[in-house]
Amino acid sequence: MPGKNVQDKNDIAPVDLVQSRDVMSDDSFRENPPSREDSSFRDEPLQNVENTEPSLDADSQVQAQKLIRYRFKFHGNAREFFGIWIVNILLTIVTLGAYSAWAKVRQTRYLYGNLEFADSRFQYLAEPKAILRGRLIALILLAPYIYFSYVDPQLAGVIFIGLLLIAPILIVLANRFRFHNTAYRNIRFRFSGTIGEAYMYYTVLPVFAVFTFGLAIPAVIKAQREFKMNNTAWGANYFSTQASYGFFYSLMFLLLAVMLISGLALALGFGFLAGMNGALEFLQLFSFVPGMLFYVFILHYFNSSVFQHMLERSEIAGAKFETFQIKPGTYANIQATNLLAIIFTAGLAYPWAKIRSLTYLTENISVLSKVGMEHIVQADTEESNAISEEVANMYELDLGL
Amino acid sequence: MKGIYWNGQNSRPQPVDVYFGEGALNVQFENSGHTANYAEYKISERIANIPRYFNFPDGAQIEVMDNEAVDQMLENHDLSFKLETEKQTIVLATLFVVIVSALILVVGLPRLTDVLAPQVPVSLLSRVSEPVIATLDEEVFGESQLSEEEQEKITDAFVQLQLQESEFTYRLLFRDGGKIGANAFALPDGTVVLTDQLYDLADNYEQIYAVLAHEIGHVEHRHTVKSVIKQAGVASLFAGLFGDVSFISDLVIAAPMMMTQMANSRQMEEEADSYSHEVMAYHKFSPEHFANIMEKLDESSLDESENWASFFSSHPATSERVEKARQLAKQVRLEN
Repeated sequence: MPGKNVQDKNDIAPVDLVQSRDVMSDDSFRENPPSREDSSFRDEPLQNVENTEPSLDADSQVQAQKLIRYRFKFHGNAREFFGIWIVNILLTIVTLGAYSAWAKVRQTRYLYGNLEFADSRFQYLAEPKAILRGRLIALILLAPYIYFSYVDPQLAGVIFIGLLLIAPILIVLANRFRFHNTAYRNIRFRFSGTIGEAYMYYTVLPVFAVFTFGLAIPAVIKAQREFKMNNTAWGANYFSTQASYGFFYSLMFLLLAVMLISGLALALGFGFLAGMNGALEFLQLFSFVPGMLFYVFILHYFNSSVFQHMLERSEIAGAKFETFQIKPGTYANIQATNLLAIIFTAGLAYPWAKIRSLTYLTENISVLSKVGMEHIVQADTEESNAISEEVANMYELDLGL
Repeated sequence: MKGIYWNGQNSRPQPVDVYFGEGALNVQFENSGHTANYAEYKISERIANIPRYFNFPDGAQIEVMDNEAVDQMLENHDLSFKLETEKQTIVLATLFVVIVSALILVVGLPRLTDVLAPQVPVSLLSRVSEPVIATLDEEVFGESQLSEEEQEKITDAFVQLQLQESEFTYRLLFRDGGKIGANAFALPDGTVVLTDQLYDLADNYEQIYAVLAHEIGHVEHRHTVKSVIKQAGVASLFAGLFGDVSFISDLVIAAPMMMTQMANSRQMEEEADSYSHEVMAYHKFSPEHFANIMEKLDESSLDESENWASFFSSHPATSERVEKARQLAKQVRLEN
């Protein structure tokens, strides 16, 4: 073979892996040949090892336990994504919507395929036909509800309750599909939550929470998130999460406080806006914008807080997550400014906004692993039920659950 | 070309060199020196510069970063890829999407609405309106304190304000407005509600008639039905464009929807105003009355902090409508 430093790695046992420095995942393959597979096929120039900024504590922890730190890197850029997005919309319009499933698949493949972790990219494997089927089903489910909500509100109410009752089924199916069609290093992810369990977490527990005057709500949400996380696996490796009750309860109190304060602010704000009635009329068209910005900010603040917490408390295959670099306030800011950009560009800024928020989220997560990435083993397929995989693969139920 | 072989059983990358000849793939494993030939394989489509995959029937795959090399091997580029990356196509696509969306929103949808709205049978409108009144009576309204004579007097005038041959069967209901306060509104089937508080607010009967005429205008133009159809249309448009039902939860996309909705209501209020002016003129009432009652309603709604919900309801700037009415009044005075 043309001159490369190739060594036979087949007899290196995992215990030989010792890394006591932070390395960018790109470089981990090049810096210490005896403990890595040779990946110089990439033919990229050696990059400088960048010292990442984690705290001193993390550093010494890394030293002590001889852990390896991996980072995510997102390669997507707005220009590329805009091209894909706008052309796909064009094709969707021209085909009166028929192309929409293919559009969704290409866009998602682009985003997954540009997410790099430990020198490998993610894959989105869904087939457009399954997505199309899922969308038709969603339409069949929602159309009667929407129709009757105008014509016969009582019947619509009944339908709504019916939809609520089957929601756990949809949640399980949607998650199964999504994870089954996500792969990393040619090993698929998996969601193993059962429908029965879903009913427990998404119907029984919430109803119970109502009877506690809402006091149990944070606990129920915690349980739901843990259910989702603990039933997600990459190959044979399940996430194992232990979230904190204290976190969810303090978050709820924070939310209540915010709502109280914002209620006051809104009352004051209305006085001001009402005074604008005569003078700046065209601005009335934008009068809902401050409210929306506020809502978006709060929504994403809480969402990212929960996301960060769940990840921070999770382990998979002996690896832990470091998420302290995610600041919910910053992320919420990003989303709020995204909203402004989208409004003022008639939607054209959407691809840019998407890339922007994804980049922030992914590049601020790192993974501390005890073993090198190449020593994870795939599940024996005895656990995966063939039928449920087929069902899993049939519908992409993108109902925003 | 260089690639990484992933066997699908474990996460260990195995660097390979891939050669293509006579339709078969020749793969050399760099570490072990082992070679393999694959006659059956599928190649993933090209999307920007994400890795390309050769997928084998046994579930293994080879990941290749060099898309150009793969394309050369295939002797062409994916059509989708070409469209998505060619500058001209992107620019054209942008223009097309923006123009078509604008056309649909500004022209297509309103036309469609105007065609569909009259198709909705009046009986259906009654079925829809019934529960609304029932709920309002339960939750908000109290019994009207107006005397029977007053109610009769206003109802007689109300009949005069209607069109000679309307397809709608109007009825005027008097209520104590409760939390809603001074107000009048119409349901799609021709039921119009007038609150005692509005009666109290008005200086004279003509002002009340102006408001009632405005409400009749809403019914005749089928505004409620139209706004429902338009809302559904806009929602479908955005669902089609952005491809998800989950966009509803993504406020980022709901913004344009809200904006079109608000613009739409503004137009509807103007139409109802015009109707009111016409009818009032027919009965030789001055447009001044409309202007006055609008101003009074505006002031009263500012006072009531409870009415913050109505601020978000779509009433466009009252001052514009008042201005318009005053201009009309001037014209009428000049003509006389």
